[in-house]
Amino acid sequence: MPSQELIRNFCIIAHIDHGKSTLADRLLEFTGTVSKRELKEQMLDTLELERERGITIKLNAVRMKYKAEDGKTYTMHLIDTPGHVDFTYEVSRSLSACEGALLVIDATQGIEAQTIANFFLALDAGLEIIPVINKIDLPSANPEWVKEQIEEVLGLDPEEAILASAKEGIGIKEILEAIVRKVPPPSGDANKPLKALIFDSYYDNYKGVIPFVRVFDGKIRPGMKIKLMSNEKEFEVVEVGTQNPNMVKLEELSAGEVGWIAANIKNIEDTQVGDTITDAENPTEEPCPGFRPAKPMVFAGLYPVDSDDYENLKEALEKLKLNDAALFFEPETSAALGFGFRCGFLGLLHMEVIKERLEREFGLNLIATAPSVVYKAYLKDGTVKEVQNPAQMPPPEKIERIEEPYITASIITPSEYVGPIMQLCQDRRGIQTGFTYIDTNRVELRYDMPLSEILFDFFDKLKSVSRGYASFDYEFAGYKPSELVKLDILINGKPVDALSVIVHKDKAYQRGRQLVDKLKEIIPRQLFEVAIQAAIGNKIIARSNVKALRKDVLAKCYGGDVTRKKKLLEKQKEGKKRMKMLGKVEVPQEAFLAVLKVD
Amino acid sequence: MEEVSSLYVHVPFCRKKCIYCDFYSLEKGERGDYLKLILKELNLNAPQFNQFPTVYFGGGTPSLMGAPFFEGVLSRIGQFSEVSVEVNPEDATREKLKEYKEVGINRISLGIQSLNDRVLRALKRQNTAKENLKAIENSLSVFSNVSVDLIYGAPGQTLEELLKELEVITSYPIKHISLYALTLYEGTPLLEKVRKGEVKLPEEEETSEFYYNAIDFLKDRGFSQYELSNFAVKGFESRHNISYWKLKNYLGLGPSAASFLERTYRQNLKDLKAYREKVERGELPTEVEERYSKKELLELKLLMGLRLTEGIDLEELKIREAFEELSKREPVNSLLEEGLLVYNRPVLRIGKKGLFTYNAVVGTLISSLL
Repeated sequence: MPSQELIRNFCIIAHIDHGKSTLADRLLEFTGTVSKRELKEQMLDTLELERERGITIKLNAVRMKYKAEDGKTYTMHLIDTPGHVDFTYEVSRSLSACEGALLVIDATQGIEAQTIANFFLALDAGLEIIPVINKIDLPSANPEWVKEQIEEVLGLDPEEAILASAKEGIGIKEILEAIVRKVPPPSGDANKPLKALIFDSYYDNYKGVIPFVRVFDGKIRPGMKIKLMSNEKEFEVVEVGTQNPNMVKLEELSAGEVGWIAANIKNIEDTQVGDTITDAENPTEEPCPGFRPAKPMVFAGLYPVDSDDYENLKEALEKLKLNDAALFFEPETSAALGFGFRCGFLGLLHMEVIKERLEREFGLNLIATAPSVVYKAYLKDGTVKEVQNPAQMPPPEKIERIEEPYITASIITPSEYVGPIMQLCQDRRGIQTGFTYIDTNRVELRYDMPLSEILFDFFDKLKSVSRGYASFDYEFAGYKPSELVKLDILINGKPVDALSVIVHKDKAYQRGRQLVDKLKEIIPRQLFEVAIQAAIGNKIIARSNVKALRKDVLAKCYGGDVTRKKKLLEKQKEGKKRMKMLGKVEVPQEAFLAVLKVD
Repeated sequence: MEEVSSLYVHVPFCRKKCIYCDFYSLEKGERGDYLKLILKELNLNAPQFNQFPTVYFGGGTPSLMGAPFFEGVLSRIGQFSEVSVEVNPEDATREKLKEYKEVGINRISLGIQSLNDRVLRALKRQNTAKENLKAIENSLSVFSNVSVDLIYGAPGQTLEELLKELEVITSYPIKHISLYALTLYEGTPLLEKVRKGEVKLPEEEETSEFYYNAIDFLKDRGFSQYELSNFAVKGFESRHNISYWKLKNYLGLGPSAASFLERTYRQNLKDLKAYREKVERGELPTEVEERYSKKELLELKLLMGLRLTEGIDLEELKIREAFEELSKREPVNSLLEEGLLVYNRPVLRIGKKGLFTYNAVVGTLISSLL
């Protein structure tokens, strides 16, 4: 057991693609934790999908030994953080497990939106922040320019910044020395009652749920009875250990240390990130601050295209859930789509990742309905209804008011794109709350905006109006009342539940028109005229017709040749497989995402 | 084995190929030995097939062949009662037709396509309206059972023009009319022209109007519609074609010709040269042979049989109960409600409203039922 004086707990924070994972790899290599040969590229990103997208979702904590220039050997815990805005809360919990943070900034890109967001998170967590200017080997690197930003935007001493190239192995030793010198050692008390923070967990087929913890006070060892403070659940510890980067068993984890616990925990929801583990017999008085149960922000219906796949979808969701406490799902029935699940996600990326994994890893063919936020409907009878599915919004006459979730958005952009970005945010009901020059050429814009407005191709739009130069970050900012209405889509006079959306009153007409036009494009002509209408309550606000098919016949019949007729029939049958019947109308799957694609 | 009811002989030669036609045919094919080939192919299928109640010579342009060709084929088979030949207007001279009649041909299918010179030019046909009328008169002076082929929906054609053509035709004692919507097939010059925007066909609403107006007009004139595209004075329906639609056994001879025997569908090699080589070697010139499963057979019976306006006896196909169950639900329920299909237990038939969207109606039915 290392003395606390010789322990350093730190994490790396950065904007996406600024080189966080490469730097982590380099640190592992430099300290001999893994050899070059063992070092798979970007060791810490374990999921194939994450690697492809260059993002890290699951957290990991690795223990390294480093013999510093002062001659002492330090135990360092590198706690990885997820690199996407959907996971802000998870990031903040990982930061709470550390005393210091490396803030990595790309020497060619400078400070971006996530750099700032992460910086403030680290500041809030009271961490010692060490700026690292990465990629200095690149010809376009401009460290002096980045240093100016570090001083002006972050208020840090630019001379403290370490110049590095993780790719070329430049500055790695300096970084490790800075960690030893600047990051304070842990200062807990091993003799106090156990107090450990869960900052991640995953499911192991043999050991059950494995929470990763930072021990603040006390000790944890096998045989001990532990208690989770948020839900009072108790478990007996079977094993404790660390990752180096393999899973290694230890006799105990003591104050200041970081490691994992196996305690026959079956349900990942029992070990929520941010919760505190204590000694069941001798509990600590105060839990670690800042715990917040995982709360999905974005909901969507997932339905199997082939209704026979319902059970398979259920099993697949259960499997993903084992490793993902933030994933929520419950059975849902749609008149249009049949049996499926209403799923809750931390954000859009989380949703996309889950959907892709279901399709790729489990071979499922899915229809996803348009994502929705959770609305709070305050009813005239004094009750409040949380609405995750627009189809379930109570009728307007029963509603006193509706509140929707807002975000605070930060956008950093070269100044020439400020105009179109402001226009975009304004179109999305954003209210500007800040406008700051970061350097002579770049601006940080801050907006209060409804979360629902970024669900529909906001990122793509932002990219296209800024030619990819703008960076974006947001955090949840609570509920606010809005003038919202439910927009229903009717096909041949019948509302299609899976196509309902909730929109701002002022946008309802425009959105209704767009949806109706889009659906007219998507729904093929059939034997009957198909009437598509958009309605608010009983009021039709837009309509369009798909004209009936008038000619579809093989007139000339040399009766003997049946191949042409047979081919035609096969093609028809194939086409019908991709259709959902809504009454007598055949609707292609893509119609259910039409709402996402309107401009 | 069920008896073979009909024989089809393909004649793959034309003076000039029509721009809308995708049947196999050559402008410069060696036809001196064609009779020999056909007889040899017939022999390869013998001895089980030598009696055919109906015989049909189609093409191509069968009327390019002299009477000895037909005599040669017909003399080898016994017991025929309906023998049709497709005749191009330019071949319809009294002399030729008389020779045809003498060797046993008793039904002429005259490919006039139109009686409107503008339409004929648009279709790049070689004949004028006047020549076509002459061909009708000649045919009627020799044969009592004359059918004409008409195409509608040609570029620039109007409804009035079509009705006018029908008016003229039905003023003759014609017994049978095949009325085809001009259709674009892959690989035809007409499709290329349409794709390039050089030619524009009428919109489908308009074509549909042509069709339904023609049906009503012909009904007034004593022609009843017995199939999607075929109209006849009572008793003069084409027995040969009906046997296709009822999926009876038939034997096809010549390049590209198709046969259906029991559950096996066979189509001959299309290329004349390849066909000749095979037959001369004493082998069946088969290109495609497929044995259909019971399900596929049922599909085909519905797909083909519903083209006949008399409909199909579902009891006979043993799918009456399955259909009745299905008819309570969508999408079949709506097909019945809207009159696209008409059900009179146990007979299911295509409704008048469903005729011109036959593929979609029957495709929906079959996809739901099977």
